[in-house]
Amino acid sequence: MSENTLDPNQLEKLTGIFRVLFNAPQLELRDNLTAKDVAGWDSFNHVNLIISIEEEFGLRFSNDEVGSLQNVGHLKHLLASKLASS
Amino acid sequence: MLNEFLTDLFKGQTGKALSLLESRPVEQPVPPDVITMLRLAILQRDLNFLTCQRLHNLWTRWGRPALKPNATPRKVLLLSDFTADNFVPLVTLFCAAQGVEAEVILPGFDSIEQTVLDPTSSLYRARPDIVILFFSDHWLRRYTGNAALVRHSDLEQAQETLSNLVREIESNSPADILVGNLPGRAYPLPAGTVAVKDRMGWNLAVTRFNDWLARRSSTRVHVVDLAEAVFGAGGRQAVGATNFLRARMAYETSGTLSTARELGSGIAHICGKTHRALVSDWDNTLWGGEVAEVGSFGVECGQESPDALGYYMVQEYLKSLQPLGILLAGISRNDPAVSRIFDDNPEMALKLDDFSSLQIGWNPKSESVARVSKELGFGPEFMVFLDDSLYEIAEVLTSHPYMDAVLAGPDSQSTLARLTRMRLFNAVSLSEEDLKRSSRALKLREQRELQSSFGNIEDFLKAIQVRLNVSPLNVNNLERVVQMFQKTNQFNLTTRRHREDDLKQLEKRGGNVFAFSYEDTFGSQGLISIVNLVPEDDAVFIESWLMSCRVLNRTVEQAIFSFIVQKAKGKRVRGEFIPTEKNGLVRNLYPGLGFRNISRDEPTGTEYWVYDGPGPGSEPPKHFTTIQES
Repeated sequence: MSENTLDPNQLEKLTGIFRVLFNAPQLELRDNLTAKDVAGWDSFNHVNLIISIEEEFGLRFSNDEVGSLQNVGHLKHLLASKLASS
Repeated sequence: MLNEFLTDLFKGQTGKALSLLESRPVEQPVPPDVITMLRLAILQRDLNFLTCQRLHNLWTRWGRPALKPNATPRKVLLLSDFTADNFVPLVTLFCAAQGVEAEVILPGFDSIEQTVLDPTSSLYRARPDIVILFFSDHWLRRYTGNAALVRHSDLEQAQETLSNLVREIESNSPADILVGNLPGRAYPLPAGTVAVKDRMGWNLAVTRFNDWLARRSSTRVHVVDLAEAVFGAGGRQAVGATNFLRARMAYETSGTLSTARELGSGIAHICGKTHRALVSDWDNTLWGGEVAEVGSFGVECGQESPDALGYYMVQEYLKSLQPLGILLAGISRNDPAVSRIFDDNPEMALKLDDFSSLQIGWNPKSESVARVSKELGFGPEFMVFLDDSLYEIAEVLTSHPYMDAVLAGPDSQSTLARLTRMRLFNAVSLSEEDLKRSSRALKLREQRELQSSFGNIEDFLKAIQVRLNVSPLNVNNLERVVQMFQKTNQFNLTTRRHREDDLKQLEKRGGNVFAFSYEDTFGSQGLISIVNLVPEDDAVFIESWLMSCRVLNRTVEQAIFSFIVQKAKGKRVRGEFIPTEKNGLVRNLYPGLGFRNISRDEPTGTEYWVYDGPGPGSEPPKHFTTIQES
């Protein structure tokens, strides 16, 4: 497993969070997916998304990291590196 | 599926339980077991935010069915000084689980003050049935400033502002108003309880604010205990820290969930959707072990071991609900003789009398629940079932899908934690009806109903065949006699708090202690009255006379008096009335029985009375009670 890639279980878990939070059972996490592609992913729900990822994976993003996320690929990368270093 | 679901749910495997429900194809009308599963899942504590969201999705996928019968539709408007968007789905969900179909509205982000004071604001345009006002500590700080010490005058100004806001809503809208009180801060200020001349520490200010708020409640204004909700969610960890920085939320997710639940149950309460009865299993729920196996004294309950103490506390908790009008029913698949445990074992916090309905027998518990419902006069949807067996819970819920349930065990502490933390009996106010609905009141009502089918009270009293049994002080009744002397306040002529030694001394001096127990066709009430008689030269002196109020108005006191007259054997009967704050009930007892007043002692107010015996114009009082001396 590369340091910056989520393993399949982790990816499934992350996908599950997105699907529940945005009530989109078929959603797939393409790397270029952004907030404007997903109904309900507004700035407020972005905070809920981060909170949920933090809770489910048992880690913490810094407030800077939360603001700087561009797309799902970026999020996966950040999450993977956090998981690898924890 | 229900059995499997309940097993996962009550074992804390909520995710697994929800997967079962997610895999089930949607059908209409929604089957009752789906309703039961959705509702019980929502009622579980310790769900995290994502699980609540998942439940919300599931409930939506099934078409948002009512989770209780006759759901009350209510438009609920939230007003807060912080970002409360997450409260919209959560309050909706928690309301649904309690029988309120809430349409929750969050008006655009204006200050609370602007929204309330503008008569054209969304608050009034939306015509809500319920307005919820809740704040973070930042709201209060706008009035008190940020210094560690708060000026009295600033706190008063905040209170006055809130008062004005509430008044404004009251006069411009017919809505009920729920106001949340304040929890502590995310970052504590030092010197929290300091009080100097015109200033006080922050914690003291919050305590005073909450206390003031509680006294502001009225028929339309109710206070929701958000401070308790936050405390229950972990206290400071639940107050907005990260969430406040990221999105101006007043709470972390645990606090948001807990306060949303508290608001949901507050809303349900003012809609009359509260639980009115707890239906409890006995063995391994109220005590450890099985009475039929180990006997009345072999069960775990009392002070002897940690688990026994836990069971005692479970019983205490059930008993503590009585003043809220929560009735208690006992259901046990057992020989009815096991009920003796409540009389036999003095370590029980509960007594048999505490149960308004008893179903002890071998039939299925779902049938027993139906009988409880019939006896208490309301449906199982107003009841909570407590049992240590998942089988029994599933059996009951299959027949009564709208009943709520809590799993007891595997030990007493788990039961205590699960039962209390679910806050199923939460209240924001108490109605007359709630207050009247105590076990005793219900039994009396039953009797009154029976009474009304008779032409008059005499026929009724004859029909219920009241029998009093009189015993002298003995080893069997000593403990309860002494206890009654300590506890009886209202029907107590002299309020002498005798203990064992005093009573034995009294007997040595030639006096008598008489203990009366009561029985009628409704059953036994146990020991209900004690009379101490002391012989004097020309009279018999009633040294003490106390009686349980629960047998008032049944001519019991008249019957006891006739017993006293009989013991006086033609001598006069002398009595004293020593007034206390609580015994006004018996102020007129002696004159009513035909005594005449001799004197009154100032300043104690003690009155001396004498009964010269029956004569013309003073017939012995009538009663319809048989007395048996043993």
